[in-house]
Amino acid sequence: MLRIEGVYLQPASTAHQAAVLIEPHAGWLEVQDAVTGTVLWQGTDYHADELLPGLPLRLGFADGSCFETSNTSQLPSKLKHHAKLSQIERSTVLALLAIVLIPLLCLWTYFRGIPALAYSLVPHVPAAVVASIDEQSLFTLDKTLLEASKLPIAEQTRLREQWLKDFNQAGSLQVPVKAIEFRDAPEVGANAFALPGGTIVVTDQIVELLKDQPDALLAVLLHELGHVQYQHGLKTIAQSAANAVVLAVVLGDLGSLQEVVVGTATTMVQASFSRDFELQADTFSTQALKQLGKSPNAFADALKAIVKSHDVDPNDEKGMLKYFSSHPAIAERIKNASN
Amino acid sequence: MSEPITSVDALSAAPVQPSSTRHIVEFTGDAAEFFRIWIVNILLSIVTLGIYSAWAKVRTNQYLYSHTKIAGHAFRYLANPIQILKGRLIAVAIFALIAVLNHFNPLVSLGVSLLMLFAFPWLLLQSLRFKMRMTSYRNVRFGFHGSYGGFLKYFIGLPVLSVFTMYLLMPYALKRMDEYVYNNVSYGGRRSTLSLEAGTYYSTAFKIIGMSFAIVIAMVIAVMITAVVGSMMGEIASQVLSFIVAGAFYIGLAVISRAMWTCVIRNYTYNNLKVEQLATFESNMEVISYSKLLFTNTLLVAFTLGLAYPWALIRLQQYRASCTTVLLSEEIERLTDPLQQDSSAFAEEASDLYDVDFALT
Ligand SMILES: [Zn+2]
Repeated sequence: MLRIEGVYLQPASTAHQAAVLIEPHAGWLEVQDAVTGTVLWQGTDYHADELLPGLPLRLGFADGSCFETSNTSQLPSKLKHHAKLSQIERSTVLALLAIVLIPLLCLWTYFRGIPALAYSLVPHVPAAVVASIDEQSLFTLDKTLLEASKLPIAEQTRLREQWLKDFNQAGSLQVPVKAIEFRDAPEVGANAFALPGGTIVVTDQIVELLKDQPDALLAVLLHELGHVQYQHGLKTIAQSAANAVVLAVVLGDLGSLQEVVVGTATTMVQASFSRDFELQADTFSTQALKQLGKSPNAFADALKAIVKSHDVDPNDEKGMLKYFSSHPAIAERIKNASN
Repeated sequence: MSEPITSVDALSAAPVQPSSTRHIVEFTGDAAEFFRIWIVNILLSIVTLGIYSAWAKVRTNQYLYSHTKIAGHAFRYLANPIQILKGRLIAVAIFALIAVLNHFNPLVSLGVSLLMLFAFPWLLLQSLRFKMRMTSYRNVRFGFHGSYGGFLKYFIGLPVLSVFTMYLLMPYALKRMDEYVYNNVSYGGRRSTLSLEAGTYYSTAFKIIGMSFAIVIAMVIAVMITAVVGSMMGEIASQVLSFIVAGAFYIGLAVISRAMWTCVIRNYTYNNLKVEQLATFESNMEVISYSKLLFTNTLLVAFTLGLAYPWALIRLQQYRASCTTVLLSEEIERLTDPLQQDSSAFAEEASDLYDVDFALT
């Protein structure tokens, strides 16, 4: 039978006396005065503090009294499993293993865990929020980098209708394209980008650049359609928000969160997708071109033309970064798209 | 360790302390033991996506509290991990909401900043209340009795006002903050009292400002000398050396000013703090030895990429404990908390939000 010597502390009082804890039958505990044997407390309703290496065992009772003992070699039957954690915490081998595992797990969480968690949330974002993200982003872009298109309205309408027709022929769309917008972008140059909610923005410069290669221009549009279909924009936002929350929890600091959150709002406008997302959209574009009966090389042609227009060597990673932080290793992508 | 007070001292302290015994606070934690607990808890927190962090907090606090002893009796941390998990989940939900709303409309962050200004006193009150309620010594709990209005006045009002006085009011504001907190702490239903003069706060602030100027001037001179000496060894060597010297001065400045404030203000506060009929305190922290401790702790943690944190923390606790003396009257032996004994009233007061930890500390 369990029998542990210790101290009984009276309810909400500094008064205490030597006592013995016994367990006459499994689950039922009795605290007796060490000298007189008077029962001070008995029952099954008790709560144990977490057991830790080197610390006494403390049992709290409903009336506010408590029993304390530094002898933790025996435990009441209900608390046997309790001791497992403190055994783990005693292990030097495990501590050494933890030193190695912790950095590895942090890296994995950052690169795999958080993105996976964030992507699973994307389908649950309300449509109203998605729509307003596009409005906000376009509004900010119009205030900073973009100007009204100088293309004739008739030309805009013709291109838009042609592309939407091609989109529908390329396959069934999981996510509808919200709008195709034309903008003059002297600073950005020849480019096109997809906003998170499904708006595609096309610069006058890229229309001008590829005016003799309509298939190449279509390939670029299909690439952006790929971003829309896979919801790369929302996934990127979700990931940066999740990073902000995790960072805030880790740092436990409200101020840093503010900065991180405010930071993501502006970086999102420069929409840089991850390399994986770009390759996924590239593949989507070449697949769709095949579906439409066009040469899959059209996308590679477009990439080459865009690179040339920005006057950088496709093999010069540093020079590329300046213009294409969103388009990593473009030489590799041209090669992929040419196959 | 505990010796009866001399008769002369006993007489002078007679009205407050019928007969007190001196006890130096003991800290018996072991760095190697604590390291294993700490690192395993971090690992489990990561593996459980942060959920276990609530248990980790309870275990860490329990280790530190239980190894802090007065007169051979340890403190006890009573919080339940679920209470801490609730607080953290609510906080994370609010963060996530803000993060999403901010994409919805960037103006949200502006509103949030303003809201935080008014939420801060509430969070501070809440976390102090929780921390005190969850601390017990010899089975009697601490309590905190501050109010939202009080925190708004002393922790937002006065500091904001001091900005308009070119921070001249700041030391006074800090004094009022300390007084407010310590006058609202209770042990077993007995309030602690603290009454301070602003003079010590002002003289300490001015000393720190003066010393900072001196250290900055010394730093400029030292960096110039290093640059001259280093230039004989080449440009890169000169830059690296200057950087190291400037960095050492910077850490030194941060450590010494922090140590000065902590030591002087803590000693002054503790030496004036009392719990009527029950306890008075003495603190004798020294700027030089405390600076040394902080400086070596900083280097230790930095050069081990954080792995030495448990050692640094244990060293800090040991030092603080060794500098603190508590004079306890005999009443400690027969103290009961009437409110805490009435367990139904106690539970009622502890309902809902009062029992969730929104730790700011
Ligand atoms: Zn892209």
